[in-house]
Amino acid sequence: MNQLLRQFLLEGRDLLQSIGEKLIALESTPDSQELMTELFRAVHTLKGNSGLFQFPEMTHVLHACEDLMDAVRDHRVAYSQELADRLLEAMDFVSLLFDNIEKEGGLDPAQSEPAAKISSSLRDLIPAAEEARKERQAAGTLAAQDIILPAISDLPEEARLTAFRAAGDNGLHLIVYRPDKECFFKGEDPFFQARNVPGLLWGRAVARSAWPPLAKMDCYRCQLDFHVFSNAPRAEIVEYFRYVPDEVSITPISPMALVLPQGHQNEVPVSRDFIAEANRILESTANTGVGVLKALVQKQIELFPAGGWISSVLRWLLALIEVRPNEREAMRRLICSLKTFTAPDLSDLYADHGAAEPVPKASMGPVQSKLAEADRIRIDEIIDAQAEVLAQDDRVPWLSGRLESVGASLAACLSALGEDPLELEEALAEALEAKSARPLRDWLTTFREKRAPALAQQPAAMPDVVPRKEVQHPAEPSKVLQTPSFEHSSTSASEASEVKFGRRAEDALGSKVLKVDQAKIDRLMNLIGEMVVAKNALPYLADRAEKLYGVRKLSREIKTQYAVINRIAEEMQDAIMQVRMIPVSFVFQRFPRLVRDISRKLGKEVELVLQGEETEADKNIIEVLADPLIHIVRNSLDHGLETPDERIAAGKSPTGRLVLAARQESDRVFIEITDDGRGIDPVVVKRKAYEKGIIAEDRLDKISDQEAINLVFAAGFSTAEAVSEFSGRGVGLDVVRSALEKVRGSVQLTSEVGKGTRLTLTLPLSMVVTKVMIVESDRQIFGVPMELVVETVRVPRSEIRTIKKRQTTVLRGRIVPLITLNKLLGIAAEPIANDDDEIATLVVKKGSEPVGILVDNFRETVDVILKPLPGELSKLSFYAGTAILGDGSVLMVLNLKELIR
Amino acid sequence: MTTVYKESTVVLSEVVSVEEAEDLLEWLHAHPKGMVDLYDCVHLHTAVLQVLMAARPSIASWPKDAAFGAWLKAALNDEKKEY
Repeated sequence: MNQLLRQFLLEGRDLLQSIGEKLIALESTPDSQELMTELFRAVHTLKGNSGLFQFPEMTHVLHACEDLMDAVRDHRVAYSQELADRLLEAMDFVSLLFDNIEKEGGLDPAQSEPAAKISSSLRDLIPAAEEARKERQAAGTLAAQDIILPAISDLPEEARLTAFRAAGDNGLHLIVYRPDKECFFKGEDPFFQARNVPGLLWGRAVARSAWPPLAKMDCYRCQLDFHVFSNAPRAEIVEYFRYVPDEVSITPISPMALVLPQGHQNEVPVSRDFIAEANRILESTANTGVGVLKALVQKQIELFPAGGWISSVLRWLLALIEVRPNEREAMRRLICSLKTFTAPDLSDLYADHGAAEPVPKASMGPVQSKLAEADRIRIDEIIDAQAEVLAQDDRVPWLSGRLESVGASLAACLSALGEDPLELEEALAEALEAKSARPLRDWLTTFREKRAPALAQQPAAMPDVVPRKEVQHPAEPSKVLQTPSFEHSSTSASEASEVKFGRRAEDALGSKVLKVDQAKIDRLMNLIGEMVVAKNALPYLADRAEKLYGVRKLSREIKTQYAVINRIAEEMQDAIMQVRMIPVSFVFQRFPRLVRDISRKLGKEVELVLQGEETEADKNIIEVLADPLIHIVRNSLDHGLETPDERIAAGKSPTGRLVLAARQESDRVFIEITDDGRGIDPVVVKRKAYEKGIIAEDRLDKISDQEAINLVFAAGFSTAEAVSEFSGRGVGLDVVRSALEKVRGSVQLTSEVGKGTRLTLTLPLSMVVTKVMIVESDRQIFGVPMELVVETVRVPRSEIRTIKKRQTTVLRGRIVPLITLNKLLGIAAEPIANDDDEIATLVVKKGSEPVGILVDNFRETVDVILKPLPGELSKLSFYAGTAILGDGSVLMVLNLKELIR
Repeated sequence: MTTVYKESTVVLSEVVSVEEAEDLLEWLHAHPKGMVDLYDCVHLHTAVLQVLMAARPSIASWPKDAAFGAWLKAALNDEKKEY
């Protein structure tokens, strides 16, 4: 995957996220123009970016979204729930495409079908007229320039004769290739392209406009068009020009349409005998007659000058006899034209071929859309305004700027009208040189004069006759296409400036925020971890210097140096942790959408309140949080909150309230999920737990309400009567708990029947550095994560009692069971007491109960970078991981939760 | 070299690439009566072609490749009536 694509995916996901958020936000403030504009811009950017790659499905869908939002923005379509649903659905689809791209590096072509479905469902929301206009515009953007077909009569007779004779079964195509002016810079050679057209019969290069003087010529702007006749199948030609589809027009031509004699007409008429004889042969049904006629015609051709009308007619006659001997009617008319000196009208003859070979009528080349009347008026207004500007006094210092801006405005108008800007450019250059508006003014006057009659003719100019009848002049406004640039210029000035401003603000933001791949940060963190370990070796080195080599002074210097390195390393560690910190809003932001969707499906009304979204924690922690939170929120929506009717019956407001709150306390993050629903009934939980065999019958009466509620965390527990789409499958809170425990987090649940439920998740701020306490047992050291340690006490041996074969002691009036670490680890040794006959006891939490673990001695607590055990060793669940101590020794960190389970 | 400038003639041979267009334009501008020899030429880049079309120099000899010659003759001889 290349860098650009990776960047696109990264940014694209952000954009998708913000699009989703804005759509949700719009639900509450559907009138917000600002939001709508932002939304539109985001979709527009995403669409634009997707165009850089070969993802037509994605671009297609986004284009439809854009059109729809454009319509909403301009108040042509009202914002509605349904509209939001479809847009969200489309965004989900795009997100799916992102996943595909990420996984496979490309898109499955099978996606084009759903893509088409989604785009059409979006477009359905745009009123029909609107859609048609957009489509026209889309066609317009495809065909960058309007391609004007040359009139048949403009093509040399020789070319037509060649084409006529060579037209085979594939039909005959007239290709007009109008390369982009800048195409040389793209490494294209249109002449080469034209010379190698498949089935080439004839071709020529034509200048687009009169050549400028050589001194002014820019030879690197392509000013040539190519006209080519080809008898290759259309598909083959299209394939050949597939990289420049918008620069060619491929028009099927009926060979008969080419039959058009030309030549000067001041010559001696053909003898009547020949005409009579020819007509006689044509009227007889005998096939042999044609051969006779051919010989006759060949003889006649020699009698007439080649440039004349008669010679031309005879040449066509000969071609018809040779290639299409059955076209007798055409021949008859040609012979007739020998007398009349007017071109025979054969259009009715080849129109019959219509089914097989479509005749080029009005539908030549790309769709030629007309400018809407309103747009044309607007263009005229712009032109008038420029005239006013030009009428102002020339003697101002900013004249050149004024002239250039007028030039730019006029050039935009011209391009909207499809006119050639060359003359304008010349006039502008002249004006700038002369420091006078005069040349431009003159040009404008002539242009406006020329335009007036053109406008008047407008309706008559619709080309619906055969091309040769209509002399097509490039200045005709009917050939105009609406270009995107024109569309832009028609938006109101204030809107345009607003857009520009927004763009600038975004740019500034982009330059300050750096997007970095997480792997790079992880690497940095690992390196810093190693650095900390290496740094911790320095005090040992100092010790050795002093004790082993007896250089006390050096030892002191090493220690001083160590202090400096230590400070820097700690700051680095802190800094890198800051980099990895992300706000919980990263997880929270998906909930508005989730809650909205689920509550709508469940028919509940829910108000979601997010608090403390800015609270930060390590990225890994936040990511781990995502799935449990979704579980919890779904549970709350499904089981916790009641339907509006139930709520009203219970005397509550019909809208339920779900609060997601995050806060930081010392080095831990607390996330609270509170709902004001029906709460958890301990009696029901107990019964269910018993039914599912989670608790034994004898415990039913003994456990407290709080303990009963906690049973919902047991694996396989579910209170829901039926499995729904959202919850009730029995995988729920136990998954939540185990997910949290993986990152050394915990979860507490409190609930009051009828009032609601609160879940509190507790998580460490960061997983980079773990505080562990080192304990000693049987002359080995082990690490114990600090968050489990409640207290450390030394229990006199005399106070340890054995109850039911288990050692216990009483701590602050509470019975605490005791276990020796040696026993847990399978070490055959007794804990060693200190001189006062006390045994070091580590009190840890097991669920909500304290448990005492007997060890030989306590050591210091250290910050370590905990590394999980690699490979097969990772299956040893009794160890949380390993850490390297300052002296280079390895510390095994115990997973006490597993050990004492 | 595919382009050789002589005193009053420029000889274009083989495939004349896009880079030659500017020099040719300058030369033709400086030598309004300069001739062009295309005998050994098999292809001109579009940019070169349009320089020739704009300058309309006299052609000393047409390409020996007849099909290519037809393109050039059509472009350089009788298209003066073009709009």
